[in-house]
Amino acid sequence: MEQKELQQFITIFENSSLCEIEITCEQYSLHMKKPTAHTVAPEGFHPVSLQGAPHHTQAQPAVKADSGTKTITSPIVGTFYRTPSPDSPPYVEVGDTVHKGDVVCTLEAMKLMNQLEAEYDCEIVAVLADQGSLVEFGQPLFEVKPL
Amino acid sequence: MIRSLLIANRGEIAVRIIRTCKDMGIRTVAVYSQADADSLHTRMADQAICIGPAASSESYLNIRNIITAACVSRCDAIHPGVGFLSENPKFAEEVERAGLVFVGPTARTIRMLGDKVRSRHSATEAGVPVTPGSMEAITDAASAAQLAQQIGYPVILKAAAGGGGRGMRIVKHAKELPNAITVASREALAFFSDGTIHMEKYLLNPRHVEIQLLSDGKGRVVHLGERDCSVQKNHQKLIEESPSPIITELMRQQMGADSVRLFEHIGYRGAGTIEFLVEDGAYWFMEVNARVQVEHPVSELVSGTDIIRQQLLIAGGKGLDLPDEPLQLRGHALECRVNALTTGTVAKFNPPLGPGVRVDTHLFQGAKISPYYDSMIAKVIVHTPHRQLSIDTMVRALKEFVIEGVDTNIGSQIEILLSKPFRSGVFGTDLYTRLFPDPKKR
Repeated sequence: MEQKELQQFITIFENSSLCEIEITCEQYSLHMKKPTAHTVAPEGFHPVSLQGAPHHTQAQPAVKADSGTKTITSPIVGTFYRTPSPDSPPYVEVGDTVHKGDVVCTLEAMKLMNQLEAEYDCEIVAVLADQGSLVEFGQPLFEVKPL
Repeated sequence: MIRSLLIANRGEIAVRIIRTCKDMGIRTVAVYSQADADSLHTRMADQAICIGPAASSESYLNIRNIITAACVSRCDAIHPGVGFLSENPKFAEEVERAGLVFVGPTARTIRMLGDKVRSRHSATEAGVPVTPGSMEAITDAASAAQLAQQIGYPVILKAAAGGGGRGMRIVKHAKELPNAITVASREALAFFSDGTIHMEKYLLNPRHVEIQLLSDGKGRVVHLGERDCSVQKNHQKLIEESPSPIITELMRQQMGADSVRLFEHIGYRGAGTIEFLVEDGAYWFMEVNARVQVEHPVSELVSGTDIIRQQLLIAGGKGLDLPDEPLQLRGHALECRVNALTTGTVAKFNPPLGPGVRVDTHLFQGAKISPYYDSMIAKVIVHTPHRQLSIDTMVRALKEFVIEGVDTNIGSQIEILLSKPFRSGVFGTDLYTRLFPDPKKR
């Protein structure tokens, strides 16, 4: 296996959402696994000071291996609303059971109200975003237990 | 006045824009794809918002997510940078519809200049010479053959909506023409969703020279001299310099005056560049780049002007911050683009320093170079009193540059700088293929 080929594999793996990968063919077999904790900050030359670093949140992996729960992440950038209108009750509360196709929240983007639907039957374990806050692409919104 | 700016870009140019914003006290919001979560622009900005997965079609080209991010983070303007959405009239329109300021020309100007047939018309109206060719779109093979005969082979067929070296076809003989028209039109349709093509005389070995302009959109247009971008590989620029070694003072004045007149004619607003082809002491209009360009630092150094700052002042309604008297251009500036030839993690990074050297980059030790985006990772720009000194300083700087973990084109850039034709200043756009005839070796 060429070193460049290997480098390509590593890059693809690093940029994927996979935690572990195993490839076997006639010439070689390759096994890669990501560390569970986030890797340490790079050392050495930095063109800028990283003090007072910006507050950017990163999308967490969709599956939490330990507890059997999953997260529903935001598919767009928008404002997160738990209720259909300001004086309505929330779409879902912690402990509710939702079915595939049920609306769990509204994401407002460019004056459009996008209703986010559950992709599978599940129980709401936790609400992870604040009412009326900015949510990024890939940001966890709900922790759920698939049924 | 702009207080908060969202930068709808990544990499070196996003970092470049953030730096000027810091100088001006403007709050910055970066957007990033999941592949860029740890990249420098997301760290340097006051706020950073993830707008999509690695594929740029779903992140850096995602108009809805970018505009929403700007609105929700309370920005009052969006800077599109270069590439991505910078010359997308629909984006400029949507930004303004959302009540935000688009740092660039109006959507109408971008749309007009993006159409090669219409921009050639505008140039002619303003009295700027255009290459011999069709003034209208090509519709049938018979009249195209007649025109080709008139202007003489070789001719080049270009997609009206094209640019950046894409959607072009060179035709050397009359018998190739009918077939080439069909293919070029089909290619144009596939690439740009518009099958319109036009024909121009193909210049075999021209120089590529462009004029940098700034316009407040209210009638004041200033040019910052020319940039010579003749060192190219597959239509991609590698080395840029100002002043050009082959332009006479008279030609500079004429090109400058023509360029200013064209921008006045179309009522251009913001920073922009007019590209010309130069051969045998004559020049012809090629196209307008309706945005800031990668090679803008070259003009910044000789003119002593921060072009990004001027863009933000114009967009904020303050107009140009330039003296009334004609601009003095000082010394010689030279830029080398450093491109990654492989992907991976930067294991070691020591950029060159010292007199006359500027480096624009988003790299740091540990930075990841992913396969998803442009391969340019740094620009080294030098500014000295004259061309020979610039070349010597650049060679020193590039030799000083340490990047480990990925392969770069630094070696071949040094070879170009040391080559006889480059040092003499007399060469054409074929320099790269002349120096490196075997493409497999590079």
